[in-house]
Amino acid sequence: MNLEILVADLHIHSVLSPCARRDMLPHCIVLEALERGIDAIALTDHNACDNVAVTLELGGRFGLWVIPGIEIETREEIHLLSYFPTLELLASFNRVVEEHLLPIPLERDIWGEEWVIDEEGNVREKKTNLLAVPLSLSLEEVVQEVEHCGGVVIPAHVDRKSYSIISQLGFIPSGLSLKALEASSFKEIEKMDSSLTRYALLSFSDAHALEEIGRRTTSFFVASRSFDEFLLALSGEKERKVLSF
Amino acid sequence: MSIKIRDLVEPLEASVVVPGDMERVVNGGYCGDLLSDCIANASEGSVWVTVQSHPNVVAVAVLVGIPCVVVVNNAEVGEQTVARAEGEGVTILRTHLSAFEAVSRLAALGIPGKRRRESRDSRC
Repeated sequence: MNLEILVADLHIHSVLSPCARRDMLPHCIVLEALERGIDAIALTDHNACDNVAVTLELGGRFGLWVIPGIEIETREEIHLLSYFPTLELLASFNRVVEEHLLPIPLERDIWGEEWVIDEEGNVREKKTNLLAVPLSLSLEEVVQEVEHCGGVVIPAHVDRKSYSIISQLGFIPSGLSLKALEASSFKEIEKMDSSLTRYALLSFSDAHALEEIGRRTTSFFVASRSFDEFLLALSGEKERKVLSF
Repeated sequence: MSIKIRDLVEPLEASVVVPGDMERVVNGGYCGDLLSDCIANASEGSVWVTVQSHPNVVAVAVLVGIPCVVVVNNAEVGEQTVARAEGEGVTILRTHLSAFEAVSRLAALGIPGKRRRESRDSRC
């Protein structure tokens, strides 16, 4: 089996996230990732995915693998990275997200702005509701909805003291079909709970500014750039695997 | 004077979602919504006030030795949480009061705030 090793940073915020710096435009993100030798990225904005389509198109043009993604905040204030095989499946999941998002008007002075970017790199739309809020769906409900749309959930930054599945719920509930966890540091993880090492452990940048892209990456050993291969690597099946640095 | 779980229901204007052992005495109280924080700081025999109603709440209660959980703001308590609490004998009370108001009512009954560890300097 001929496997290639792809360096991936699958946790990046664009200007759609109010907390991201205004240089996080899809065009800049794609070029920055290529410059840093990254093979695969995902935009994971808070509870929204409006900038994924343009990023996918750019990725196709410049030879960067872009996996459709989103970062969800559950009712328990847990952040979950979610990835989908196609833009269409992400869009159908996003309809569920929109239905369960509290309509809180965006106070730009407090939170910042939420920009949707067009193909030419211009601001097409400024969102008027705050996206960085919890959905009314529980952890289990979000996992179910993501899987229903063919996606996979990876709890984000599980070693942090806020917005992590472990900070919010004490430990990972039994009966959740998780394959992988994201953490900023694995030393901390082993100290926290040695049973966590049974999951594939991934590390991504959680970049909110251009120079942060690729500060943490995970290498995927896969046969091709497909979502099925991505899933195989997460489960460690058929010699596919992940390695984090 | 010892305060039993059944003494909490009326002052909290609560409904009893899972009775558990209503005759159990509570010796203190803790309030918080981060389950990791409750594991670290709450103490055995306390009543726990929280807005969280995830099934893990029951597991944390058992781990710490908390006999009674008060779910505030009328947060919905799902079937799984109920089933788990019934299995473990943990009382769940549900009230329309906010956490602040619920804690004030418990304090007025004479229940002291209790934490396992002394507070220390920590940054988050």
